[in-house]
Amino acid sequence: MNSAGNQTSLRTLALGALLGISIALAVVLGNVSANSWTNSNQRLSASVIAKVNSTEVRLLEYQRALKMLADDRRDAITDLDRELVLQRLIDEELLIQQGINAGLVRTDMAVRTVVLQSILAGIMTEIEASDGQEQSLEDYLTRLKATADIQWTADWGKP
Amino acid sequence: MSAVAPIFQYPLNAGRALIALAGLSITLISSDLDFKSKAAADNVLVSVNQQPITVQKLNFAAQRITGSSAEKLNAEQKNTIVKLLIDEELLLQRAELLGIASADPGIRKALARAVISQTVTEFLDRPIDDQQLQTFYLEYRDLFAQPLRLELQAYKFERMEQAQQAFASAEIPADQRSLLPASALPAHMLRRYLGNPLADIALNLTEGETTAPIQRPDGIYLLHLIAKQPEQISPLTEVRPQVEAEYRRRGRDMALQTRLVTLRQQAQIAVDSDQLLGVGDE
Repeated sequence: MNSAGNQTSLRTLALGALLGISIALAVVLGNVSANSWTNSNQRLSASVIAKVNSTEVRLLEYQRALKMLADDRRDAITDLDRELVLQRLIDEELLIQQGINAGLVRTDMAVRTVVLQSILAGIMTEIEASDGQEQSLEDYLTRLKATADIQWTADWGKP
Repeated sequence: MSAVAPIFQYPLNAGRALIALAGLSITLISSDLDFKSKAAADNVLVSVNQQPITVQKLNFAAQRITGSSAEKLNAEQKNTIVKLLIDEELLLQRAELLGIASADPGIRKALARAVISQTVTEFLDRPIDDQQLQTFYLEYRDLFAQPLRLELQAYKFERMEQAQQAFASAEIPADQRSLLPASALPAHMLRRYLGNPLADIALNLTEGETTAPIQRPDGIYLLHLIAKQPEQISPLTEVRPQVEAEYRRRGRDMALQTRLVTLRQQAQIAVDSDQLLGVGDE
């Protein structure tokens, strides 16, 4: 939905975000034992290093995070470092899942805004790429409304 | 037509709609209103695929956009705001359907932050019980102690004879000034001013004692200890603000740690250990 440039920027942003959150978590959770975060060891597909509930943590993501750590260190990366990096990725995924399950997409204004901005940006790109088939966001919303179950209870609000 | 109505005239094209929706969101973002969806059913104005839009949400949006509550708006104005909220809800549901929330890096970051913030806020909102604070203070009393402080004079000479003469006469030449401030200093400050070897010597002096000239690579030193203020344990009543701040700081970290431990315990987490240890060796 985004242009290639935007996607590159998003990836960079994501990497930065990941590192930021990881550092925050590392500070907070410095004393958590390295093996306390997994309850199953299993063979996963080649591109996946871990699974958190039904969400996969991609090997590439882990390699990037590990590289960021390695670039920041003089010493070689140890097995404990590897475990800690993965632990941070898993913790981040747990927090995200918790946020979604707790309905923060609607109730947290910062999250809500980012979600709306993201979906709107996607829709706009879609409209621009549709060569006139999609005319406007209004059309898009009209189509969404047509298939939605919208029940008014306020007298003054009924269309 | 009221002053607010034009803002909500339905977008004529996508660009205007984008601006309108983004505008509402940005307006909403800075609010401290709790936008929880726990509203009672009788507060529901409209449901969008079973997702309620409540009176609270309307009030919240009205307050932010018009500066007054929804009660002061007429039916048409309220209707316009609710329609905008419906559009937002439809877009949020579309985002959920597409899995954007879990895939978009910016949203993932915002979600993780929001959960951390929520966890921390929940902890900070709890009042501190006196007994808890007392227990915490007793456990970490050393943190709130007034450390040992030395009122010390330190003189530096270029030649040994000068230092020896000053030491023998117990008089510092008039043109010599102490390297240290007049106030008593804790050990870490002494180390900063003098370096570890001289600070170690100073810490072992008794009140009124003067060292013999001390040869150092950069000169010759005389140290004279005027007074030593021993470490003092301050009572809780004196350091209560510091104790509360430390209690909150540690408690905040602990609350987040506890939340993560709980999430881990409730989750199904599988790790491919072979991949874990094999990565990064290349």
